[in-house]
Amino acid sequence: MKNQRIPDHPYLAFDRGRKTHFIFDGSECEAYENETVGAALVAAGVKTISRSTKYHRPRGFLCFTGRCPNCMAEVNGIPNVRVCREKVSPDMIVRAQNVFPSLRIDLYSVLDRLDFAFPVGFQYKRFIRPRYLWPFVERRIRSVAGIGRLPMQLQVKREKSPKARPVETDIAVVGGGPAGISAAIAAAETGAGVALIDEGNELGGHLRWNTDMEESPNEFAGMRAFQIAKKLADRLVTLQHIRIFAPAIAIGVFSEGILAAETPDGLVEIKPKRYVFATGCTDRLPIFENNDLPGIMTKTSAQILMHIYGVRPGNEAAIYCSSDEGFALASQLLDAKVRVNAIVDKRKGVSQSKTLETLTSQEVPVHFNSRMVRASGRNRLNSIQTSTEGGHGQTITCDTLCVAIGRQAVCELAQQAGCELTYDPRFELVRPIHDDHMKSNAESYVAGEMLGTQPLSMITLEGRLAGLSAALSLDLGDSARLREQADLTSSVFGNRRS
Amino acid sequence: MKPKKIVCLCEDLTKEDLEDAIKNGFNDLELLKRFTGVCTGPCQAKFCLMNVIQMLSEMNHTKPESIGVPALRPPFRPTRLAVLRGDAAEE
Repeated sequence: MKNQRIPDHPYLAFDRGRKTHFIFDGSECEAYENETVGAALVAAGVKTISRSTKYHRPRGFLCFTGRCPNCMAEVNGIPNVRVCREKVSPDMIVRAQNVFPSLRIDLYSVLDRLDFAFPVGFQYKRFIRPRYLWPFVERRIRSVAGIGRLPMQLQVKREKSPKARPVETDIAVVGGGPAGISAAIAAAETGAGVALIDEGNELGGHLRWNTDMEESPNEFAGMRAFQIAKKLADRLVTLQHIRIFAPAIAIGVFSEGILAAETPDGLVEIKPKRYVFATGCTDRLPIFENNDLPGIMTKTSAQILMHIYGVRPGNEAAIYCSSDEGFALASQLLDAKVRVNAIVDKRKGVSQSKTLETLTSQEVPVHFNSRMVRASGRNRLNSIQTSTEGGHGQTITCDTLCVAIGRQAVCELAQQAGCELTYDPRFELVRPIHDDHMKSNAESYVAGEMLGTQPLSMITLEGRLAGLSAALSLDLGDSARLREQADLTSSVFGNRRS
Repeated sequence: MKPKKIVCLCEDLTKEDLEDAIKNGFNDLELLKRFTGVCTGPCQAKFCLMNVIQMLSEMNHTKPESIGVPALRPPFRPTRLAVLRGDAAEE
């Protein structure tokens, strides 16, 4: 098997740790301690990781943030583990689930061709008569479609987990990206007690896996995104009153406003007086033929692989984008020595991005005003077909397609805390409503990319504003400072009350 | 592999599946959810929601603002029962 690990990166050094190995579907896979199972599999050239529920179509790594259903596998007998985030440990046994008999050849994939016989909701209508046959049929349907198999008591050691720890604090900031860190800093400076919760091993959110240079003239000018992440996180450490929970996965907001978060040492139950939600966005999956082929991944996925784990997502990539983010991603792929065969851009060619000039000089073809029609390949991506408005389509060979088409805000926790959600046509996303002081409801404040906000400077402004308002509602800090910050923010945004 | 436009990765729902359901009268987000299972799989609407809202607004000729949002229930990420149980201190 070939090794996809990046030996030398122009900006990043990778601390992979010691070499180890684990078993994936019966064969040994080389890995390093600091990698996740998913990263090690991509590094070994594995594209398909699971089969889909109904049609048993091959599926590969899509999001690499533990949010999509594609990379669920059985780890040491425990089903439905998202292997993109599961740390490697020696002698781990990873098995693909929902495959019969194997990941590569799945007999049930014939269902993909027999789809006409199984329309949506067929299980409510078909096979329910004669009645006496239904229990048998139901069991068959379950075994074909199930996601994972429950572990038998003997196979899995009963896990012990520490008792949940209650944590009381003034303000809980959910999300440790630029908005969350800014909110936590602003709130802590007023003397409020702050708990910051983030799912990453380190703070910084999406800045951690980005190498873009900050070009606008602000305090971070000339720094690369991952350096900014570090700078922001270092600033947090110097402050008192802040408790950091990372990695901690916020599971949900429950009755009485208690936020439960899973940490490596068990559950914490955080009961704050105010919330600041800065949970950011996930990438969307655009719809075209075979948009689920292994090899198609989100922009974030490619960035996490390249910049956190130092693994090339593929050898020949194409990019499907609707903003300048696609150009930035192309230059990042080139930095990782991945060939970029084409950039397919939905826009009409109005970009004035500097990166675009650099890419054109490096002979990366950019197709403006184009759309994805189809992805082709047998069990893995081989080529894509695009169509240009008023022109001819094109076929582009590639083994990886990175999509950067729109975002979806992560609103689950905000909604559970009682924030009302609304569709924002300007950014085409569903986000919590908020006023000029970032207040969403009596106890909750929101900020950052989850509201559609972009450039970094605006995200940090919003974060500070949310942190200050939350503190002020607890009679901490002074209102003059808040007003100053609010004026600054609205002078940049205009009035965006909704 | 037969060419398919997948909208919901969790439940293997194609664009055509959802269009058929909407044409057959399941033209409200909550109805569509219950009939097809869209937004109810292991990802809990993290990848399909915006596409579904867009499809519903196009086919119903309404603004996407009027489609609404389903209740996004905990857990945010599947969590093991052992973690929720938290009983090691007693044993």
